[in-house]
Amino acid sequence: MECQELHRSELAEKYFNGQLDPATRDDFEVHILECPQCLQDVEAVLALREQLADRAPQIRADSQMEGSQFPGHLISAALSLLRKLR
Amino acid sequence: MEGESAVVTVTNEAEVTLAERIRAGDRSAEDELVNTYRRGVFVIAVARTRDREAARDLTQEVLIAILEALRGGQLRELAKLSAFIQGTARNIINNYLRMRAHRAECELDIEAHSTDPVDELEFLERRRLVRRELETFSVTDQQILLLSLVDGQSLAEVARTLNMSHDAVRARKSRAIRKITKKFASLSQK
Repeated sequence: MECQELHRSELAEKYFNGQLDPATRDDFEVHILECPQCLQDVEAVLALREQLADRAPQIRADSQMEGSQFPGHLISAALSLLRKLR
Repeated sequence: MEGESAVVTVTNEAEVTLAERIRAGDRSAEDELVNTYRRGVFVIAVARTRDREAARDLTQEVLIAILEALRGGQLRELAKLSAFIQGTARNIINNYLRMRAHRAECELDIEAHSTDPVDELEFLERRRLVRRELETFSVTDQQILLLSLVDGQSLAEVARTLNMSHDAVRARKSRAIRKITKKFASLSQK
């Protein structure tokens, strides 16, 4: 395996997500044992992944707040008003 | 490429020399092997077990097994040291996973783990660095990273989820990961 292939195919992410077939996974592991530069990049992806997993609830909440055009409390109020009108 | 094959040759020669020195009883070669491969074996163990504590113990177990094998001259093709280490790690970790599954069935207690304080400090420093850097990213960038790195979504899926173009997702994701890897590299150079 070449360093370029590891980066081009985003193999580190697929590796940690369990998305590589066994042969590619073995090749990937041999490569990071041989190549300190790629190992360092893979360690960075691992650290980032762990940090993201820790912060996942916060990120999801923040993105819901930011992306929501119709906030939940307004929708609830509208539904409540509709029920009263019936 | 000429340059790339030269690098591979040097790596193989270094592996042969290291394995030969260990077989000849050179203790400093054993330290060199541990320092060269410890982090890689640890990453493999974390990825396969998803358990940092277990990965620490497994890394030690793998390195001890490799040293014993090299001392006993069990590695036939010395140039394939990395492949030998990977194969040994895979087998030991797979055995551990089988035992863990069995242990979970039997509800046995898990023994206490020892932690190398230097490794722990390095881990905490890296963790702090990644957290600080991550907090500087926009919510959208954090979401892109979360969906792809943790949830395992493809770029196309992330683009659909966030209603963005494929190229924009790819560019933002690459830029964010590049920032983190650069920070990592600068920490290693300190």
